[in-house]
Amino acid sequence: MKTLPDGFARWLPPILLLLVAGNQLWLAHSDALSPWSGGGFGMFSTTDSPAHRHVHAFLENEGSRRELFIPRELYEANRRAATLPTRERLAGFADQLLSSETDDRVRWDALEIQVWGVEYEADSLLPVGVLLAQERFELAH
Amino acid sequence: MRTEPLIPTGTRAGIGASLAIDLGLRLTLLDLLLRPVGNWALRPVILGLAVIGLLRSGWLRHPLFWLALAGLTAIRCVLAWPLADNHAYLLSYWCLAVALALMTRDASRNLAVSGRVLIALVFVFACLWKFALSENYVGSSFFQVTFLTDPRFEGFARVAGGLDVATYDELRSHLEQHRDTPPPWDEESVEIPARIVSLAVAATLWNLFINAALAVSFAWPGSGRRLTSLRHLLLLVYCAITYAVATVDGFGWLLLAMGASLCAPQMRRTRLAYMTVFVMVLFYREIPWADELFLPLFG
Repeated sequence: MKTLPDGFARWLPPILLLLVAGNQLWLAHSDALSPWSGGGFGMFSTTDSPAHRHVHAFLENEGSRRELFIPRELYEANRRAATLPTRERLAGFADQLLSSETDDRVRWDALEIQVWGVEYEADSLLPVGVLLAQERFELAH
Repeated sequence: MRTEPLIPTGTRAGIGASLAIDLGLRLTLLDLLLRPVGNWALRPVILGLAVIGLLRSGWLRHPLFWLALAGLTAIRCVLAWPLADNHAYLLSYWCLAVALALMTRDASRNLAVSGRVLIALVFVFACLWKFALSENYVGSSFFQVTFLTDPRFEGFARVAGGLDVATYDELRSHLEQHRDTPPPWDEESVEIPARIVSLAVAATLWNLFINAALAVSFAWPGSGRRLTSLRHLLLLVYCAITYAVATVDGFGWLLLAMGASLCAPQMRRTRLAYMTVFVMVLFYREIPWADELFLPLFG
């Protein structure tokens, strides 16, 4: 086996770390990626962990709005959507939710997904909901 | 798999160099055995490689072996995106660093450099988040919330914070409310016990200090005796204390394996210290000391 130059062997892994961590910083800033995820070493630095985020999904039409129950089998998809709530990811999650929805008695026009985080007031630690992402998907009929 | 040792083992220096690397590599594989990673497809392969690597020295020091682990652990991160923990990425970088170092003329030295820089970057980014980017770390609210809501800290928080079950549950319920609608809400305020606040402040100050010290010491260029000793001391203390409370043993074991690989051949006591703390972290995981030893005493 050929020997590698020392510099290449020493610096490639750290450069990869820098690239991934830099990407994580960007995604945390631009797409509300949880600081706990993405390889940026932000775990245990903020209360904005995936465990402190949650998702609401609402079916809507002209007359009404109903919140969807997120089934157990979509738990992981729910976590991924909450952790990195881009429109593309929420669209995929919306498709999965609609596939799992069995009540077809009402004709719905749209599905709205909200991803919420939480902040805590400094003195009282009173939790305050923070809307991190909100996407509305029109439903085809 | 036939291999030629890239480190000459016939000389005394060669034997020392290979021993230094071997401990770090074996601890890495032990980490993989004790904290298996990957989904249903990757896990058996990674586990199998870890077992073989521990049993056969030829495989342990072969670059392709570590390239395979680097690839598999990287695939794990990709499949789990964006959910993988930080140390999943670090594991992949480390396996790659080992593979690349084993393909050079001086594996021990090159692995020591890349390992040191990787550890430095881990703590530099950790400091960036803690000191600058987080809105609630420096003010200690992060630890107040974490102690009261993260189940991994419940035993420690109840013992150190002097909380009975009812009080703890009340505080946790308060913090886990979903207040998604605009105000006004029912403003039910709950007083956070003074001991929890003090504990959070102490934890915040300690972690700011130790993370910064690790970042600076590992990033500081040079390999003088004092600086090297300081690096090892800080890393060992960090792992011994942190993973007694935060049961993220996989990360602790990985850091210890990396630290062990930085030991010069003559640093026998330091390598022993790494092995000792490695075992300590195993005990922390297996013996819920806060729940089983102290909670029955304090109620």
